[in-house]
Amino acid sequence: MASHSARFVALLVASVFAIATPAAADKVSFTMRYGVLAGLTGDPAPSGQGWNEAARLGIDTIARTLNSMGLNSIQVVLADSQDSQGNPQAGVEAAQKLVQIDHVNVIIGDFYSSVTTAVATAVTIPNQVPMFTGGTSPALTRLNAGTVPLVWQPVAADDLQGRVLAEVISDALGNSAKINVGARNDAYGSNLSAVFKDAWVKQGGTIPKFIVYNHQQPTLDSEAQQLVEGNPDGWLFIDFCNTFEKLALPLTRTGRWDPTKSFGSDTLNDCAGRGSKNYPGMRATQADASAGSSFPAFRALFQKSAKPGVNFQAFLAESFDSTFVAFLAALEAGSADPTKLAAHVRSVTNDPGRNYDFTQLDEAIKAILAGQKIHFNGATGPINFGETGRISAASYDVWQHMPDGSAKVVKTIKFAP
Amino acid sequence: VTQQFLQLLLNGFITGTVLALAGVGATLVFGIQRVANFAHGELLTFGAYAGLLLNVVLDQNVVVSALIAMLATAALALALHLAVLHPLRGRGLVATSLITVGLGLMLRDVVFLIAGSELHAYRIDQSVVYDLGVVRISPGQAIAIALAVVVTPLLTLMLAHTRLGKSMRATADNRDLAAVAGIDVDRIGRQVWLLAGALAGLGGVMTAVVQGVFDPNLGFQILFMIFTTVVLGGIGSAYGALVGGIALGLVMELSTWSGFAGGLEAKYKPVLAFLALILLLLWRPEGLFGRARVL
Repeated sequence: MASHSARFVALLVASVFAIATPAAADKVSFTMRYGVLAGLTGDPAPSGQGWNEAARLGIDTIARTLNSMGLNSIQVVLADSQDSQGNPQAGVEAAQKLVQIDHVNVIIGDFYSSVTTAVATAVTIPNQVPMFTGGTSPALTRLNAGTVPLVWQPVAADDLQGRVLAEVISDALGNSAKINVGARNDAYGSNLSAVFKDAWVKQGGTIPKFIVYNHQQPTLDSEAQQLVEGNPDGWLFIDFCNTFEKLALPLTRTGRWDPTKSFGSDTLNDCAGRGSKNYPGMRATQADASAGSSFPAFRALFQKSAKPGVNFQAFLAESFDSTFVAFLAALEAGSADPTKLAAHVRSVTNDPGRNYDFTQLDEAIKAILAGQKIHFNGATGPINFGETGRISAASYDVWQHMPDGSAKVVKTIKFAP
Repeated sequence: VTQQFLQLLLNGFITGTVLALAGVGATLVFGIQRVANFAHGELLTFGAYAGLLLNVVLDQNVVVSALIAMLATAALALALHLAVLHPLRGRGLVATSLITVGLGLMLRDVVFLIAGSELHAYRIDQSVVYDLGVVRISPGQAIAIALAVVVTPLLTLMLAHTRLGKSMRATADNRDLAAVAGIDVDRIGRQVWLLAGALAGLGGVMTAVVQGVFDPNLGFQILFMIFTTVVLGGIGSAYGALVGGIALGLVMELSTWSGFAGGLEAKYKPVLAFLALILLLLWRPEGLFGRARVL
């Protein structure tokens, strides 16, 4: 028993020492295996292919930098990209393959909350593998029950977005405006619309029609009819671009829908960029994924090096940033062991420490190897992961669909979580 | 309120016609071949994409595209019958029906592979709306109504008055008796696949022009509504499917009418369809026009 206790204490001291002590270049040796999980086929493919490309570009950049620095004892590889199809069941099967067959140290994805929830519950948390999700459901935070978060959300959650939407609509149409709400009938639509409803009613607004619709129905004409009733001052839609288009056509047919008085959730910020169509005048909010000073460099890299046919979207910076955060955390930990790197994620994304972005990766690596504390700034912004696994600073972009069919950011607002 | 009622009536008629036409094919295939064809939705998808190819790539008008899409889908349905289902006959209803599930998945994935997952649209200006005073109608809806108004009576006449139609109904009613009466049930089997394929192709084009945009999930999304139509009308009954489909479309759309106790929430439309089916089957287990049978 005494020897067991001594061994435990020695192990504990060694672990603490390993976390606290800078990792010198000649001692650090690991291979970091990434897995990407995203909907690569079906409905989510236009975004999923981009998510995968952004992660691949991040990993390639890290590998190239390590190579140019002569750090051959540290390797990063993209072990595999698996297709979740945007479906929880397929996502779990894909994640099992990544964890059990490919033995990945970290998973970048999925960007659907429903898939992330299923995968975290069934695969990554039981196997203690961290994942960086693009999912925005507030419920994801509750999955992090341990001392070190394993589900990291590099984007602001929907409980914040609902309040931001209320603020943006209030600015445009007034506090007491009548807003009809149309939301897809799934966890994303019903949760976000409920948060908006609470915020909107609390500030004195009314919601004459609150329509939660089944987006898989062949036609949505009756839903469109209901959504134009009650003489609304404006509309809020919570849907994805391709299914929203199925609703937008019947809405147009009613002759009583005005896109210039319509607002959308983050997934409707730029439908033309997602292979669908924009509605001139319509506005949408999206957590600012382009606030970082290195965002233009990321966009240029993506446009130059991504697979042809894969469209650039601002939210892809989340996937790109996550690859660097995971790597730098592993480097600081001196190990690609999933639990060890997870314990260092907050350290490399918060002050104190000198600020670096991906264009200064070599310097960031040198600083860590020299035992210095760093703060990695992503293309999305300062990141600042909190103890729950969420980013703790948020700004939101207000997008607007333009007459020429494009979309652009017309305003950015800061919002305190 | 009256205007809303008439608009919903029109929308319900369009949805119902698609279900009715697709349902006739599915019910006759079941009645004659004893196959619950779960790939029927993918036949609609194939028809929609065949029409798209003709309309957008080969620059044909929508009506010509629909006609050729019907022929192409009929050929596909016959090919599936001859290559897969006919050699497997006698394996039982469950086995053959499960095979159609696999066929459906395969067909959908092939469409995904070839056409991609992005949304497609026919060359119709979807921003135009015709205001007819009491109702508003899009060009896609107008085309769907025109196709339905021509095809549905022709189909009814064919089933009622032609030798082929009578033979099909007789075989669907009682295959053994039809064979004893001198009907070549194997030939009728092939012809019913052709008819089912053609109607599914038309249904696919109609759904695509009404929806405006579509992806390879088009047919799968309405598959269970088609089966509801088949059961509601009475399994094997072509007339039943015609009436059942239109009734189902009307009931689902009109249930949201605000004059009807404020209107049902739209998300419960499919629930209402299945509730109507359950209630009908409790009252009349063989469906509206079906006859009691042992499967």
